[in-house]
Amino acid sequence: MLKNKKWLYILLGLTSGAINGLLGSGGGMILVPALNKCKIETKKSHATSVAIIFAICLVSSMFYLINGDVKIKECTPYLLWGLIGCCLGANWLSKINDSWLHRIFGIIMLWAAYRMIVS
Amino acid sequence: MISSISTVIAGLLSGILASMGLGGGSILIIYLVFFEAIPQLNAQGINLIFFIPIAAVAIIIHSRKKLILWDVAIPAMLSGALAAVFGAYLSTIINPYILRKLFAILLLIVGIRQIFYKGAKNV
Repeated sequence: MLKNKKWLYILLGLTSGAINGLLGSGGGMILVPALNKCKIETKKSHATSVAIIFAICLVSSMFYLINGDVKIKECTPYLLWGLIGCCLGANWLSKINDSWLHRIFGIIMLWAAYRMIVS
Repeated sequence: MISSISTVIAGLLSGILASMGLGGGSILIIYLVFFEAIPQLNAQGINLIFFIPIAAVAIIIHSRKKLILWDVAIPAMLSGALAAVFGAYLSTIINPYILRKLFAILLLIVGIRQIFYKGAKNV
């Protein structure tokens, strides 16, 4: 059943990647609701989107590095704490209530929308 | 290496949100631009690179709990990576201003629906 939808997933990836490449961020935000619409449950949608954005970020960041828009050592102060946060968050994902996940995600989306409208 | 409190909080929060697929990138970018006075583009780049090891660890943890659907992820990862190349190229020749505003409206609509989400079917 999932295999038949392969083209749909390819399309989702294309959209996310294009948005991420064009706008610099946000590609993942429509990915989660889109996966939800594909009858994929909330937590799996979030987890799967991390994998997809990972691939997209690998490519996008290479462009930034090549263009000299960023240096790797600029990220190092945040990495340790980010990794700690990652261990916390990744464990919370499986435990958090779905409704709360949607609410928090919705608020973050509204915040991102606000920033995009204002900037 | 001693980090300032704000660095710690920004890193922690971004790591938590990013690992949960919650678009945690905005937090780090905002922090870098407003608190560290780093230019927007530079901040975006830092956020992109930051996400890579975070996501890698998150993927390992999530896949152990069988939360990642690889049937879905792999086609999307491949097409996404390709589209990212295309998008990066496009961004050098067109101004994404209008697209950003349109996308913001989309996020607004979807965001509101997320907050009022009920049940499995509607998004």
